Amino acid sequence: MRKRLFLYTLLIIVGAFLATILFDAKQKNNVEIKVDGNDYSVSSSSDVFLESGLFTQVDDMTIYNQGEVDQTDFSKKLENSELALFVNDDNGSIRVVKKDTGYVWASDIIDEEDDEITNAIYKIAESAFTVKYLTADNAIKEFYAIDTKTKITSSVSGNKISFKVNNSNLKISFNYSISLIDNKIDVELDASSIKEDGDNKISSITMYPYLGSEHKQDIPGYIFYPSEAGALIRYNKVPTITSSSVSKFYGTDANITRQQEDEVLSLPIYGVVHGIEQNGMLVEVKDGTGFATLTYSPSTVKENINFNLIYPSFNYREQYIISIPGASSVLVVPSECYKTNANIEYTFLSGTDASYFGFAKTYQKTLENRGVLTKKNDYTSDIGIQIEAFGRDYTKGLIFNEYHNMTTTKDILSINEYLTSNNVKNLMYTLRAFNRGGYSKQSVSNYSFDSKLGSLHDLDDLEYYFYYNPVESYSKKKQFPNQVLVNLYNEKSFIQISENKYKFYANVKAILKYTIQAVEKYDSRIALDGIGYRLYGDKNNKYSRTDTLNSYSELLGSNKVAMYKPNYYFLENTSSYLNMNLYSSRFRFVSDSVPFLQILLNGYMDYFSPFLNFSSNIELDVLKCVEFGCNPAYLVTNLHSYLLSDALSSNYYATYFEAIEELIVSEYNYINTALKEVRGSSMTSRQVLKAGVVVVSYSNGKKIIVNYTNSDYIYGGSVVKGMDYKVL
Amino acid sequence: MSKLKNASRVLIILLTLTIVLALSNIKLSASGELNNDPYDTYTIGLKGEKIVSPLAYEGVNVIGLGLEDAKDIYIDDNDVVWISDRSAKKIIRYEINTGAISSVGEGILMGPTGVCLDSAGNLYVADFDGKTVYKMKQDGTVLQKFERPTEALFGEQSQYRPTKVVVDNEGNLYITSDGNSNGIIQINKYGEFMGYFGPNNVNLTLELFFKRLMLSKEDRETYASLTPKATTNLSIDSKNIIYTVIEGETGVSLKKYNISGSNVLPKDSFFSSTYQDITVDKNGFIYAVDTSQSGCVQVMNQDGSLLFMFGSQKTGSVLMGQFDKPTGISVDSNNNIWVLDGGGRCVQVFKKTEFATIVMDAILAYNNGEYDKAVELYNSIIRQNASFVNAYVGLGRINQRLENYKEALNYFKISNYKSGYSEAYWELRDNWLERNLLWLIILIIVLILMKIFKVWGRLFKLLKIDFSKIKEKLGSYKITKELRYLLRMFKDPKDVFYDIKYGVKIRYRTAWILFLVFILINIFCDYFIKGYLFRSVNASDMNFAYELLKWGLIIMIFAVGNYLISTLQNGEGFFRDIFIGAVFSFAPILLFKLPIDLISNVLTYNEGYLYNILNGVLWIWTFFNLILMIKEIHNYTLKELILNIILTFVAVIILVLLFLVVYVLANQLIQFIVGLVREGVYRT
Repeated sequence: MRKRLFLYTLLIIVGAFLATILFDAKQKNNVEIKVDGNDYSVSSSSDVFLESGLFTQVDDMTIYNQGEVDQTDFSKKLENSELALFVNDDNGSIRVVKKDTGYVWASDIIDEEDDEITNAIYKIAESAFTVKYLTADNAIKEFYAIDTKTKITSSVSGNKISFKVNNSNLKISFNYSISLIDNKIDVELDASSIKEDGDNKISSITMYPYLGSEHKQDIPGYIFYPSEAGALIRYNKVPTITSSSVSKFYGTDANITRQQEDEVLSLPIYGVVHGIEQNGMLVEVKDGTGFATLTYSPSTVKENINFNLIYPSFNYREQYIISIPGASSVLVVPSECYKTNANIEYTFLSGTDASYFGFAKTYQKTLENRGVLTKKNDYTSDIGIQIEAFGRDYTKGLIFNEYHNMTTTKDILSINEYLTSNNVKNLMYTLRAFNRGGYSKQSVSNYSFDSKLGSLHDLDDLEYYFYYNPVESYSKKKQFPNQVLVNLYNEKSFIQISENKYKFYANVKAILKYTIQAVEKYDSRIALDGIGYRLYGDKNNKYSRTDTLNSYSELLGSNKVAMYKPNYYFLENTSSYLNMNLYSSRFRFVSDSVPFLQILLNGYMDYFSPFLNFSSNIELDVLKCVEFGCNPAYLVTNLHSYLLSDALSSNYYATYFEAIEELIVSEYNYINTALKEVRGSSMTSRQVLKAGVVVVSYSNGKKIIVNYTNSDYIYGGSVVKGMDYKVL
Repeated sequence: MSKLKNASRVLIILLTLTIVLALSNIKLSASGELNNDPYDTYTIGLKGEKIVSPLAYEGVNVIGLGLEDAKDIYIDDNDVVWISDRSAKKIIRYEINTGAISSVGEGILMGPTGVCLDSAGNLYVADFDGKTVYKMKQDGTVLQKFERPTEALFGEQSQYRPTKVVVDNEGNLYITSDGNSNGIIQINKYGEFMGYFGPNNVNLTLELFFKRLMLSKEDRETYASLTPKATTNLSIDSKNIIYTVIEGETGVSLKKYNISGSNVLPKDSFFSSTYQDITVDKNGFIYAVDTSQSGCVQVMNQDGSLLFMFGSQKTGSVLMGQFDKPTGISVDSNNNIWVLDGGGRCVQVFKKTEFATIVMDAILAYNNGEYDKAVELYNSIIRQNASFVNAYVGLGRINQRLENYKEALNYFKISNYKSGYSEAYWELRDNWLERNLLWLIILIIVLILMKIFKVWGRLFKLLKIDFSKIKEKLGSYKITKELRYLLRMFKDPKDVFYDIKYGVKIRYRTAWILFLVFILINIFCDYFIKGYLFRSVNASDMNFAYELLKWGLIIMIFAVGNYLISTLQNGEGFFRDIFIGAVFSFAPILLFKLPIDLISNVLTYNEGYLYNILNGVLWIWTFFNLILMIKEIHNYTLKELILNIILTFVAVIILVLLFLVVYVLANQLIQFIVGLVREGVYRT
């Protein structure tokens, strides 16, 4: 009886099992998703949008008249054909007179009558510098040039005036100098002259915080702020922030800041315009940038008494707090201050140069003279396009990891065939996650090609670059990779991106070692990510951020490689600028986005947009590419991206080539039709005709009019359709 | 010694596990790896988890308006923004199209916290400090005052401190009142109290019970109150449907009421416990704002399922999409989102991106039955975000409607939408059965015939396979005999336990093997064998060590706990007996778990009860085996048995607590040493 029962049970089970297998086999045919390439058109413009900080606004060209400037207390110290420098001997404050316009740039407040200026503001504004220092018991205090205990002596030799500062009370002294060169003044603080004979230690030094300041909304003009592509802060648009914004020039220093990344300023410069195309001041922090910050302080900050300020500061000592479990935290103050000179160059401009466009052109010339930028003469007649192929990643299995070879070299060949046969030219391939083990195994020492993805020789006929990010690597868990950065807190540094994704930085020594090896191995056919915009010191290997900066600028010698978002220190080594933002960062105080970077690099190198298939406003971004002379970029995989949804690379969610191939072709041709007309010529002006309508002129006489509005715009007799462009 | 080693290993694994768990609530930061989005936008991924999505809303404007302590925002049909400012004691009026700013209610209002308009354009203000709701003309002329209802129904003790107000098409007012947990106060246009609408419930959970047990009387009301939470904020759509949010509630903190006042939205883990405001647009999309660290602003479809969340709370931020303390949300006629940042004293305006427009249009097209358009749009969404779960669900549903069940099944499988999968699978199975019924019947008949004619026996004879020999051979192994006890567990378990105890018929080794088999069968079934619909876990998420521990500990803790108690209680069993007995008590699971899980592969949710019942039977059976085991092994009377069971339970709890205490103390010790070293290093 029992036997039979058992037999029947077994029979049922086997039957069920068979049925399951039969039935499931039918279901488990590869899950395939149909995708048609139809593009769904969505208009994206409306007034509030076009007047937002994502676009450039119409300039207020009102002539600004400064009026009579009272120069008592000031005496002329230096002069050349363009500028005259006046100095107040008591407090070191300066006035720079631009001779062709007569405009006076003052580091103090010229017209003091309107406001009730508090004593605190008066001290800061009338002083050449503000020094923050730490007392013996680590309290932060300030002293100013105007203090009675601060003694300033100056001496002139040639085009240079030198200042000796000594605060006898605090026993702190240092020297700085101003040189007058053409339309520039060059302020240099000599770090070797910093002397701290008492217990007080310098924390930071700010030179001329009120130079270029603006009162309320009295002056038509703006501040140029180096955020991503470039940003303007117009004086007539009152910002809604009530506290100052302080940003480090090269972003957060992972050696000092734990588990956090902040906005990176894209270049070590800023600018001020008083009267658009009338008076401009372009400021570059040439040295000491590694520990410099940029402060923007709007008139809405109560203590500012209606002044809009922007100025750099140099943090000669970066103190940090170590928390100790079960005890109060300890403030650690480095015993030595940084031994790098602080150097700021102020360029005074007038006429059309006194605008963000002029700033870009001026800076372009400076960089060309410095050898950072070299004119590109070998422009092809059609625009380029970056196709970034994603190699492989794995999802976790029971025992073995399941690898997804998303794109192989053979796949790239077929992608190439499709694109070239559809009239897409000058293809440039970057191979991301083609390193051994793919995306999840990316690390500073892992830059070899993974042979599971084919052979690099397959690509010999293509222009390809091997993607390599020596700085950042990712993991699902907090498992620190080898050669991870150890920060000042003696912790292995990490950043948690999401619940199950962590980011790690490599230490500087490893970065330097392996980057140069990788560049040699691939004979400069390499696309470097991370290194161009993440800059930090390294405690264990004894690099300060400035040391890293100096090592980076010499690292590649004369090699030129493709770079993702290179900051100033890598521009010289950049052959193509990748992932160039089309907007500024969304700071609340920013009123406009401007293509500063694009104007700067136009004619000097090819620059590529962010991956357009990841854009949430594709139509808009394509138009921005047209306006900015930007080559399009796409990140693709041959297999469907949902395969990665369980992998570490799950944020690569829009890469399936088959789904976007038609889009790539049509967008490339759309952009190329406009830009091939102006290939090789440089931008000569950019003007906003009305909110959302921009005209960009080129040196070959062509003009590209881009219309971001929904309605047609008539320019010079021809119609520019809504959300479209026209080349004239 | 080896036991000690094992124990320490277990401890290490547990330690690592706990550490991993403890770190999971660190603040999320923007990734920015691929796109240059200013802040992260999230949506629901294929496994129901929070994933990064293309930017859905672009911050386009920040407006100051001179706010002091703004509490509520309302945008009327003419795109006029109304903001109630409690400290400024007025309502601020801002015209979007002209930028004109004015204010009303000065000198009348004492501290307005809620504002709305009716369809005729009359202004309603909830004056919290004035304990009154005002109906005003837009110029501030008071038309009507609604003070504390005098009706007995309102309740003598009930609070009337109006925080927010909405008005339906008939002119009825719905008022939330601070500290009034009876529900939303409903007052008709004549000022008569109509009753309480949609009262909230207290979820009576075991946790709440324990909390109340442990807490002092004072704390009990704060942390484990039996009084329902008062509604925080509310909104009403053009069809008079009321939407509410409840701060401090979890899972059911966002509600959509039908006319009869009951909530139609299911519990959702994405609903926040810090909601501040809710609004709904003309198409029925729901927008809510909370004060969480990541994903302050949430956009949901008509069913309350999350589409996007973005923005974060960060004090003193200068970036768009970060708020000091958001207090209100509203949508203008272009479906731009206006987030009132009460703490940051400004309003931030967000515009839909092309991507979000496609998502919303797709949902609307689906709801309107425009399937062709919806399919196109859904595919477009997938092109831009291959992990966007709503798109796959949508495509699945459309295919189901069009009776393309196979396609539907694929989409439901990708999106892990199990109830959809179940329905589509049912249809497919039905079709399959219909087609193959004949063959099935023939197969069964053939099998029966084969049985009758002893075909197998003859076949084996023909092939000269002699089963009796094999049987004999197998029977000669000791382990075969031992394993037969598994089968005997179903017939006379008492005998088995007797043999374990007195006969020493089963070796320790065999029990250990079975113990391992038990663990592996459970893991294997849960992750691989069980039908897709009944599988709650995913192989790629498996933590093998954790699984080993989970299943291993069930038997181990029980055996150890019982042994400890029994030795004190004059039990006769040795640990060996208890362990072997316990393992054999799990015979039902050892034998039947696999076949049942196999069968679950061809079941849908319609037959789900069958699967659950079978599983339940297995565990209950096991449970009774265990009790019997204790009784037999220790030779207990019924009284002793009951006492032993209770004490074993207590012992198990004590064991777990002991582990936690040791763990916490060890942790403290490590921290202490680390701190000591650090302090030594940095203070000197």
